[in-house]
Amino acid sequence: MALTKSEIANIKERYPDFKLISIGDNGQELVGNLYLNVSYNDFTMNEQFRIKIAISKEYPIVIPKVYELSGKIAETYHHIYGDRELCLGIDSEIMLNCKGKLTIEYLIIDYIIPYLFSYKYYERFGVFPYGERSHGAQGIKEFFTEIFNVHDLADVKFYIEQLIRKPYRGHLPCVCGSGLKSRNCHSLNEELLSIINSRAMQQNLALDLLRIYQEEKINE
Amino acid sequence: MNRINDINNLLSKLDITPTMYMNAIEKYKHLGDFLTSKGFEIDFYPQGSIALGTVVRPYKNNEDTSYDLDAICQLQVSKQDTTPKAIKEAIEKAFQEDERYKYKLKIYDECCAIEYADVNGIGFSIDIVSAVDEDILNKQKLASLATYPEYIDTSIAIPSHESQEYRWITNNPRGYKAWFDGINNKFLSSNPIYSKEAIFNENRSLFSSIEEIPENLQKTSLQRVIQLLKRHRDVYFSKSKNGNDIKPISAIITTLVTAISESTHVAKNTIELLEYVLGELNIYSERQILNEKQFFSKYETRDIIQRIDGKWEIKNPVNPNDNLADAWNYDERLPKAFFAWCQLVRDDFNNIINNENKSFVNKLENSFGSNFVKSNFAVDKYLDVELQNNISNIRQVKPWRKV
Repeated sequence: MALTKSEIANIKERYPDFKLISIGDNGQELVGNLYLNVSYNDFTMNEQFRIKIAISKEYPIVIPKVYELSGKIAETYHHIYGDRELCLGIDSEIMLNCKGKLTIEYLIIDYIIPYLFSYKYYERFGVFPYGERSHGAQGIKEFFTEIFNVHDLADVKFYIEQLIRKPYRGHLPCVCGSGLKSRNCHSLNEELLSIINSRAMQQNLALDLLRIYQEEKINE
Repeated sequence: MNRINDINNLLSKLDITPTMYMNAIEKYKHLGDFLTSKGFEIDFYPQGSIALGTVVRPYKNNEDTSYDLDAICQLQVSKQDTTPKAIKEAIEKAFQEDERYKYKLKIYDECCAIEYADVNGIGFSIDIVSAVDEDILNKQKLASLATYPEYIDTSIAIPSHESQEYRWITNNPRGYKAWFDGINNKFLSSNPIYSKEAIFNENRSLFSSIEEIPENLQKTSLQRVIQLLKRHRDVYFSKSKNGNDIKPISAIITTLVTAISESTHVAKNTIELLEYVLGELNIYSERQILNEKQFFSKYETRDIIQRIDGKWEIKNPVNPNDNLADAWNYDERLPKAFFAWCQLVRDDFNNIINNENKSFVNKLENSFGSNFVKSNFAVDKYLDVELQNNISNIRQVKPWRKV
């Protein structure tokens, strides 16, 4: 699956400057200028960026890669990859925050714009306006600590493994081994459970788990 | 020129209004009269930004808060006949025993403060430092070391609190004001940017004639540059890493701007003077890397910021024993932060008169605070094109990267 007609129409209306380009069998690219006037914490970013959103065939299960093309993000910034891909956030977190229903507009408003603002703020003040995640597995752990109150990387791995053994149910004993039903323990209410059991969430949880294992392998 | 006027107008919104100034002056008089009525022989006078006409409204947590004003309560007692602790406590005791003042009083290590209730939502407090005249011997020593011996006579001794003990230190706020006025008056006589006529026209209910208007309400580009830099500092360092520990003190900003401005044309407008001052400070920033000899051979006698054998020095012009940059020699982050900040201001105001509108407004917002600029300035007249994404409620997501 790729972009639906209605989503394309919505993007054209909201971001008329963006052009949609098909890239053979491999997917599509949205390229255009983003004019932003964003204020937060008494600081205002008034800036134009050129953005490329690379949408794969597996969208909206797989989160698109996003690039800044006008060179306004310094290469030395620690949240950009060598090919200028922006490190927007942890995949499971991005997917969870949209409740498993990813759209391009959500990605722009909730991730790309805050990312660009965060960068400009950091560039001026040397601190992040609303924090940053550690790189790699450590960052994934931080996310799980915030959402599920799991504090140890080994527990995080175990927890994700349980979550992706679907369907996971709230009346089952909590994965942390507390003996409580999980809905009473790690705040896995019905809504959260249904999101976690969605295909998009399952796939991105699996991806983050894989990253933790890969990182451990590198470190060995 | 419209932009210069707009910048000056914005700065005037940070200043104390003529109404508040008159109110504050009345409070100073009341405080002095009160202490006199309690049997103190005193000279009670304003010091600091209120005396120099460089007040800016304090900025805390993105908000403009109460004004902090300063006063000296100089007792007519010989320094030999009293102690720093005794004069400080005597004044505090008088306030503590009075029904009107005891609830307004706050006591700090080196001064006390009277905090007044808000008038029209704006409050202020007056910090009172007790003082006595400096003794003759010390004055003679100071005069022998001074760049401007003519200002030494007004030197006072005030309490300094260190390791639980009080001792005297020399201060000279009247001399400082005389030095400052000597330079500022040249700007005032040739190029007042907020004149008595303008003040009178805007405040008819407050003054019945031009003659009643205090000198201090007039403004020059020198005063506006000091206010601009103090505000930029407050906004910038309130957000940056360890900002409170490393932000430059007002005395450094005021002294450097004034001393540098002494040697330039008084007809400069606020932005021209700012550019000149920042250009000079940019030269001084090379003292971070050049030694004395190298700096001298490149720039000759620039001695407002000195670095002798690696030691930073910014002389207080009226107190030769006071090195305003003393703390720079114990914390290397301070000179680094100071010069980096000067560079940032320079970038922010570079070409500000000719920048495109959107960038002009953006630079003002980031220099003085977005909320302040938006609520005190007709931003709309510069922003003819509706921007595509005006977002004031941003989602607070944290960037991450895979390793």
